[in-house]
Amino acid sequence: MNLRCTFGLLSLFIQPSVFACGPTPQKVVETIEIHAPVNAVVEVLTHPELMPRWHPMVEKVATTPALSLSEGAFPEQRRELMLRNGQTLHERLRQPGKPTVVEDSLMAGGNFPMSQYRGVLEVRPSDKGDVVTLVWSARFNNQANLLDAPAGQDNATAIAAVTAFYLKGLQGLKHYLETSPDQYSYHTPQTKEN
Amino acid sequence: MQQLLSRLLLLGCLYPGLLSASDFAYITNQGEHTVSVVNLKDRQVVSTLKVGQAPVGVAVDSLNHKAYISNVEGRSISVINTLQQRVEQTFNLPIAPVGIALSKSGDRLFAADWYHDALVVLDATNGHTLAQVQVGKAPGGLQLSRDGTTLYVANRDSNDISVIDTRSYQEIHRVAVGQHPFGLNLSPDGRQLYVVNVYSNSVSVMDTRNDKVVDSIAVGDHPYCVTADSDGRRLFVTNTGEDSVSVIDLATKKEIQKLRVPGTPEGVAYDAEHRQVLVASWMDNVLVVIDSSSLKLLPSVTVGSQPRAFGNFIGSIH
Repeated sequence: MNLRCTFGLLSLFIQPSVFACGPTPQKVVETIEIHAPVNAVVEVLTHPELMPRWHPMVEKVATTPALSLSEGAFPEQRRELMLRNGQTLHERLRQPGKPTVVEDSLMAGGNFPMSQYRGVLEVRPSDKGDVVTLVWSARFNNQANLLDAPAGQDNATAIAAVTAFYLKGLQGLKHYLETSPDQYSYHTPQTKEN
Repeated sequence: MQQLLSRLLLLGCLYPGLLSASDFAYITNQGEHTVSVVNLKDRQVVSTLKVGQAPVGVAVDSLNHKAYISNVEGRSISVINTLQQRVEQTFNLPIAPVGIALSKSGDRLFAADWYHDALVVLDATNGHTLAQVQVGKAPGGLQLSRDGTTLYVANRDSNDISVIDTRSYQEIHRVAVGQHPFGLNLSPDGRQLYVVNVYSNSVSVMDTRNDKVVDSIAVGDHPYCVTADSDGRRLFVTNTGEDSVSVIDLATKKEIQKLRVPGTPEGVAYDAEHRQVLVASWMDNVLVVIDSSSLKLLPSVTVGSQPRAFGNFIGSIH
């Protein structure tokens, strides 16, 4: 073994590169059944400004209009969520690739305890009338983007945060749509007037 | 299922050449720390093997009937006996291995050490470290040249490829490619290296005779892995960010079709014997099967949780 190899082996035990991103992505999938017309569900979900009305963790939402194609592979919008617990989540909302997907977002900033996030929200109609199944799935790394992340920036923290956000959001949406249908019908005033 | 497996194992023991490793795919299931062994002819899981924490990489040794699995969180390599479909050894390492590849004779195992910017060379029989080579930042994908004398290393965070002499363990060149190179594959004749650039949404084509990048091919969003077919006519690239596979015509270097596949496709391999492309879809826990002639999706195979199958997961393919 030459000198280079000897030094190399010693270097195995030094501090890892802080630039490397984590090689083990995490996954959360949450599902809920909602008794509401599919069009009503899509209507609410495609209006991000409505989110504080149905998501109990979201205090404020700011959105920006579609950006130019040069900023990414898809025409995109940006959404900034301010949560009641002080966390923030900035996302790029992309054009969904499947007809049943209503939201395909990437994390673009904020202090929500994760990184490298992609979330996909799918609305699956059923053959049982006005009943839909929502599937919200996420892939992300821990906030530190490291294998041995410090407490608070580790996998467990990221998984717990995303799970809570998804579960409370889906439950809130179900409650909003099933108990207060008038709250979202204002989105189609022209239809009503006509 | 048990009966099928018993018959396969019996055949394998009696006629080792009859059931080579290329009859099976070894799919690493990151979420449940297992490997699904998939019979490629019947497209069925014949065994699920417990390995280390968060398995990612695969290197199948058809010659010596072994499959090596890198367990990134477990900091180990699991060694599967592919005749008996059982884990027969575990090498504990001081590193977190990601991409792995074998030397041509199968006596040495190369492991990309993501966190220390190094390539580690291991004795494949016992896991002892033989050498270590500093490469670029965050090495992931590995690819051995057809003659076995060169190893290519994709350095994700320094945006380049390390070209390593496998006899002297020296880095010969470092070749700039696109942003965040990850998966690698070779053309059947070995003259072209295909490099998937995750952030550039492209595949760099490197001429292996002079280590120059000669082309860049646009693909889908956040691509991860690539495989060439056995004719060298097409490339198949998994696009994790948009749940699709780009089909590239190598004559024109253009995408000719984009196939919608189940969520977050990662590892991809070409099964020449059955003329099918295999894709591990991480989000939906399936091995997607694409007929390479019609480019139609065949029924998927349900595997374990969060399959990745990074590397050469079906053995000798050309």
